[in-house]
Amino acid sequence: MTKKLLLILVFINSCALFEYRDVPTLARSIVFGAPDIEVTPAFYDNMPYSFTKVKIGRSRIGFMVLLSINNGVYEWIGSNDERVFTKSGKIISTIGLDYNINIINAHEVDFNCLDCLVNFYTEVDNPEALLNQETKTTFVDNEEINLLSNTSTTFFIEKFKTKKLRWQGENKYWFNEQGLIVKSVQTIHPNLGEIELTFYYK
Amino acid sequence: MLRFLFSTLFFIICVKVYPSNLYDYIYPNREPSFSNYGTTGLIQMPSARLHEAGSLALSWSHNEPYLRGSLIAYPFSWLEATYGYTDINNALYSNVPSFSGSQSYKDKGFDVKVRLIKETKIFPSLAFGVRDIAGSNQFEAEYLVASKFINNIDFTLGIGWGDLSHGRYKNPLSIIGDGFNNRLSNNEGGQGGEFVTDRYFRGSVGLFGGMELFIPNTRGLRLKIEYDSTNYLEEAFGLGRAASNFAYEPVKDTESRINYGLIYPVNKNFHVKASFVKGNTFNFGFSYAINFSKKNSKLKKINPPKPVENINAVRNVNAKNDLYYYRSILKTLKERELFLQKASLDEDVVTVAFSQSTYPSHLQAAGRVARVLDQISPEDVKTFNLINVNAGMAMYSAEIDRASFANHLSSNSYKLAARGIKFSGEKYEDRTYAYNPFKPFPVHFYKIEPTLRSQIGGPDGFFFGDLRLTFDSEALFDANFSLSTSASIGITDNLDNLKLASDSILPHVRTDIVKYLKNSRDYNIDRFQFNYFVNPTPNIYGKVSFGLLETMFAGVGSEFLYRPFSKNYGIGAEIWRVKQRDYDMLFDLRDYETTTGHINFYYIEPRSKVLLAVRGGKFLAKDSGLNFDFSRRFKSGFQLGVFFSLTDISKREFGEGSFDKGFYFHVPLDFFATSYTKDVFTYGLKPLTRDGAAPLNHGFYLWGVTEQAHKETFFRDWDDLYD
Repeated sequence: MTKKLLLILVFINSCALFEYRDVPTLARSIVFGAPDIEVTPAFYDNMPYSFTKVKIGRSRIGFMVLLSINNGVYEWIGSNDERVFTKSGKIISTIGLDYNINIINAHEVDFNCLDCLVNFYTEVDNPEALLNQETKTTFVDNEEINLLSNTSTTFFIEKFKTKKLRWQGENKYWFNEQGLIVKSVQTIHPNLGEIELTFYYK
Repeated sequence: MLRFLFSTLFFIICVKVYPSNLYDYIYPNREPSFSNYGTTGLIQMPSARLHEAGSLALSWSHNEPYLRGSLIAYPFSWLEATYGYTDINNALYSNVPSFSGSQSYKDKGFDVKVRLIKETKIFPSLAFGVRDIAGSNQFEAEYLVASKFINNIDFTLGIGWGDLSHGRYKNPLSIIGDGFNNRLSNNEGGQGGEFVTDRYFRGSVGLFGGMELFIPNTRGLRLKIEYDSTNYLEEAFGLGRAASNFAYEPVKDTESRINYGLIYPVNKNFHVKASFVKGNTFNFGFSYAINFSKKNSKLKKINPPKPVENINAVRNVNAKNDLYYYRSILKTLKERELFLQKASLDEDVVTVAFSQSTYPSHLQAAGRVARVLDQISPEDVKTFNLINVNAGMAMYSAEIDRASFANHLSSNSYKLAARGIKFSGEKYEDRTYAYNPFKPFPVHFYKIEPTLRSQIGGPDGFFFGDLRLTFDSEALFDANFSLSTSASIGITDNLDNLKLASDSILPHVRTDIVKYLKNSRDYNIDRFQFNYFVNPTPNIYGKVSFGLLETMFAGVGSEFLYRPFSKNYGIGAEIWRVKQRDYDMLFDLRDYETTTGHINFYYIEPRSKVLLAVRGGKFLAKDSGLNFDFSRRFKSGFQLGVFFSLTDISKREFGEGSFDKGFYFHVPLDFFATSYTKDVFTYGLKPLTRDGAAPLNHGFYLWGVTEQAHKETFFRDWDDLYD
């Protein structure tokens, strides 16, 4: 009887908590992707600054707030001090991501020059290299997209190609009627998934 | 051979040279790949490549008639150690059906490869290796091999002995002595499990070579071609019935010595492969390799240092009253999973004794305490004196100059901050503390997790597993007195066909494992151990324990350890009176009892950081001798270790395997977690379970409990100070 009581004591003493805190979250985000975070009007109202919702690949999602605007370059900052610099919505530099870039001739970003061939020289890290990227931007259509409300946008596609890596793809940009970028989907680094940015201005 | 030379020439002509800074993007995932034999290499042949130190890999290949699974570890960048099982499908485990049924032959093997010269711009990497060392010698071979990258082709050329000696060229080592001309057959020179050094590098030799071509812009796809010098008919049961009465058919003879293969890296870690060997056999396989040497920089933690709010107001309040200050320390530390034990303010020095079980890096924990103190301490406090407490014993004392710590915080200049920190050994309770917060003993910690008990490679079947739900708990009745419990219930198992009985002539202290496994399937108690810890003087630690000390023994005993804080050695002793537990692993005991004890010596080699632990004394089966354990811990907490024991029993008394040996590794779960954790995944394996040289596996070895009571723990982690 004493042994049985001791045994019961052992089990009662022990149970209650299943401590595999990170495993399900990690596994879910790898298999199904990170769950989306909806930006509601209330969420927007509570944010004191302009911000952008950032989705990298399938498994990372978060927000960055607008830190500064300098000569048309918008600097966005994340909670872990990650920085993303955009010009006319195009990501021209990043700091603190797993893979970072810096476009040396970012001054040549110009969405007014449609169907122009522009070569961007991009420094990439992890591993470090200098890539030559041929780009050509084309107007696609006027589109209505749903952000906080239905928004009329102008939709552009920028095709890019780095011949030596046989790396090519398309970046997509949506501008509102004021000419401000409201959404973009870009591939900036060969080892990094697509970055989707949705912009909310104050 | 001509075809091989032609292929080589063709690929050299096809090579395109790219600018070096683009090379990593054009040829990504260039980590060394594994051969079908489980070591880094070409298709069947080894190469001189090794993974980085701290890597761990798993390789599996289907190479008819063999299925081979290998675990490969890299304790150093120059050493590869492989342990593997080969399922030999042209032979039975034995010719006694009542012993092993229709199970195919299983061969355990241990391989080592040592890099002698690292590759330079001009010279190739050079390595030698021994295959199937200290095993049953079924695939025994030795080799000397060189590998050299030229643009995107990795060329390999080697000379092989034993199973790699096709060609039968004269052994170049015969110039040293005629003894190198002759090699004993696989059945001579040992009983299995032994190092038969007088067979290595003897007999005729074969030449092998090949190349691994990295195809540009294909995510690391590689084509391999090799010239194979394996004596397929001579390895294992190649000749079928002519080789052994266990075997039933010979292996396919070689139709071509040129093998072809493809490796595709799905990512940096996971490779899949397919190959065509001997001119008549398709193979496939995969490997997974991961480097645990450094912390996982890609996984960001969700609990960075949390700043204290309104620090000026808090400082002002704390300056008015010492009690406010102490309570503020208690509350602020607790919010960060750091627990104040005692505190004292003496002029400009605040002494804080704390404990923690969250942060795997002890320096990081100390840094976080100092960061909190810097934020909430009144301006006139100039020095923080931190004392870390574990199991009621003081582990270390850190005297931190506040100004230096604060000045270098924003720039993370931990090397400069280190000049303002002095670590030393400490005895807890040696000083008077003004503040001694109430501790609500008894306190209780617990967790529930799935565990797997397994038995691999026996004659009854290759794998027997027992999936269980395990309840681990620790109840603290006092800072020094605790009860550690581990109990489990079975979820599912396949133990029904496990029936191997012990054939040991020694007391059955371990070989009744099958009885333990089968009789404790429903529920059991692994451990129910009471511990009392003492810290009589700085650097000396003691423990008295009693209860169910491990899965097979219960009893009472004590351990002491002298571990000088600033030295790289420790000396300890332990003695236990134990009685064997009943097979149901509950509270009943069997008749067998003994006294076991050891003198323990620990030494950390300062350059390599290899820990050597030597335990000499009497083991559970009443045999006496020495146990040697070599392990290396990496920055991330990943630890690799090997051990072997030599006692006063003969090889015949020990039985198969000749002497006790095995390996283990600890993988820190912090590597995969988004929040800090000290939990580790431990895996250990002995090729055979025998009774000789079996130590008592009691919980809470003092060397582990006092990990942070040693300067090296801090010196290796300085970069964690502000983390």
